Amino acid sequence: MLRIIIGRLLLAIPVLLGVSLLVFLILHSVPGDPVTTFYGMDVGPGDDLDAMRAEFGLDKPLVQQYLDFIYNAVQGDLGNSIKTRRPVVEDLTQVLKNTAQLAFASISIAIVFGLLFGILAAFKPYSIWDNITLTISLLGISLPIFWIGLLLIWLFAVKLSLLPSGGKGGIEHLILPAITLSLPSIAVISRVTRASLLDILNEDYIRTARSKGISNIKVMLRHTFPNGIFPIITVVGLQFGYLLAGTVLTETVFAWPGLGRYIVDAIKFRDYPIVQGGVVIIASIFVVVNLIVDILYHVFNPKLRNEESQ
Amino acid sequence: MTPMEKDLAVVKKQLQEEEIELTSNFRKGLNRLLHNRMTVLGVIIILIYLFMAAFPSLLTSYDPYKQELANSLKPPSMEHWMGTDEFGRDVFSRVAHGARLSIAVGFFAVATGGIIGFTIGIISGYFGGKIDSAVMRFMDVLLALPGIMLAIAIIAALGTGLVNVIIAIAIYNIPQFARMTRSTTLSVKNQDYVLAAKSVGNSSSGILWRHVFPNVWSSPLIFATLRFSTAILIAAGLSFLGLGVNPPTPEWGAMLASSRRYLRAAPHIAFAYGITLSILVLGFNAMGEGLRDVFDPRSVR
Repeated sequence: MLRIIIGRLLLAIPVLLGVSLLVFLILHSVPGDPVTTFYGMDVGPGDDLDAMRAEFGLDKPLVQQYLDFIYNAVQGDLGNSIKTRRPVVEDLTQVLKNTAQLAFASISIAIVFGLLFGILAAFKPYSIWDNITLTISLLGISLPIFWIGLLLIWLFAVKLSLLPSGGKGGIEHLILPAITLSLPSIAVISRVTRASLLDILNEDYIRTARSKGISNIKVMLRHTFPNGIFPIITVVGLQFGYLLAGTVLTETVFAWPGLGRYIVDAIKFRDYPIVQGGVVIIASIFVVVNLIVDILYHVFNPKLRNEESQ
Repeated sequence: MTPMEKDLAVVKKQLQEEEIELTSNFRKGLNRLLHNRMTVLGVIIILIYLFMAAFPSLLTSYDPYKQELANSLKPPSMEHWMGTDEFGRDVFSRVAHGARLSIAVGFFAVATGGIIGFTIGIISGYFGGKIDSAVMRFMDVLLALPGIMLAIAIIAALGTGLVNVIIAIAIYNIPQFARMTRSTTLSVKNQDYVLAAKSVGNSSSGILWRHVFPNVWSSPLIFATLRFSTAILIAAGLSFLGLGVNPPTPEWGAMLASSRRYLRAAPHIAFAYGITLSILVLGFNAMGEGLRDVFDPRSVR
């Protein structure tokens, strides 16, 4: 077991290095250097572009710049913003906190409703419940997240005046963005739950359990659910990653001061250290979440546990 | 006939039979497809949008760019049946012209990314070895940037604009296609007919083209219809963020973003663009679902 965990950890490191290199190369492939692009022609009297390039390390060879970036990043330093000259990490911690709040609220809603709809649908396949679930999941993957957001703002903020249309504040500011962000994940989780449970319901041991006269609910909770949960765990983990990426749109719709909006604003100002740090952070979280899911999968799945020991 | 020629004849016949089986399977699939309500609904929606994209000027006589400030933010009426926007432009005209743009972006992005990814996947999977594992590690790296994030990073470097959006979404599609094509190729390359073709001395490129390719292309093609909706959503999302197609081009995502300010005074603008975009994506997803049901025997429904 420990060997698997260490193996996965070792596999994740090259992926993380690769991602940082990829993002670094993408952002440094821009013709001209970031300082010139940022300041353009509007160089103030006291400003010396060469001095600024030196300040951001842009006068060094590209390989050196990348190695410096990694060396500093490992120590928790992602450089300074070109615009504000403040350390990127300081701002990132704050916006990351806001994004995490939104992401956790959304994934909680998605897990509860995704499981609920999925179980209801699997209980009676091809029934009215099943069709409702299928319709919801088709809508969930089809409706653009920013359109759902606008629709909810129009209904709850403009028409009913029940909830604020955006910004950050008390719990009431969290409700609409969290619901918006959770809809696509509800769709995917309910669908996987349904498929996975239906697979198990066809197994012989379920028939045996039923023939003993155990009630439907007990068959579902005691025998089907524990065996069908593994694909669901995987999909929840993956969804959490997509949710982090999806927050970009939700945060823009609801003016939520999170990581996604911070990156998008930085792109508009061509403030590349922020973009670089932010994208690498999102990718790292995504890789780490997948790693955790992968390890959990091995720890809790008795089938895989046996395979390894043989 | 020498024994060698006899063997060759047997192999050839076997190869032909397999091809016949494949086409009859295809016909069966098509039949089931026409009886699948979801697919038919999806196809009808897509056809309507394709018509709108091909002949927007047949449907409306208004110029999507023409401003009439005196007529701004008017609700739907007989004259402007989806109303007018903040510059007095006809909303329906912009909806219709936006269809062309969204479908074109989706098509070019998926086609380019799909073909590149397919080529990488089939070659990498067939030849295997060190290059294969290097290529696949690189694909893992691309996939480590979730969803819209890779496209955003590429836009950050390239800048905004129609062509850059297509490039960004095409690159986003490459690893997805490469992975799925590779796994299909891996299962095909050890089939008897490929081994037979190899044993009679056919060249690698010949086998790849004549025996592997015909048996691999169908799943990526189905996958492409599913990716179409994602591509359209990401393109609209980028434009909504101000990182895609720039105004005043009639792009649904960009127009939705600017309609946000008039949600109280003129909600009809947001509704027009939001609903048209949603229905198109729904159409592609419904068609894709149907295709997957028919061609993927493992899917539950």
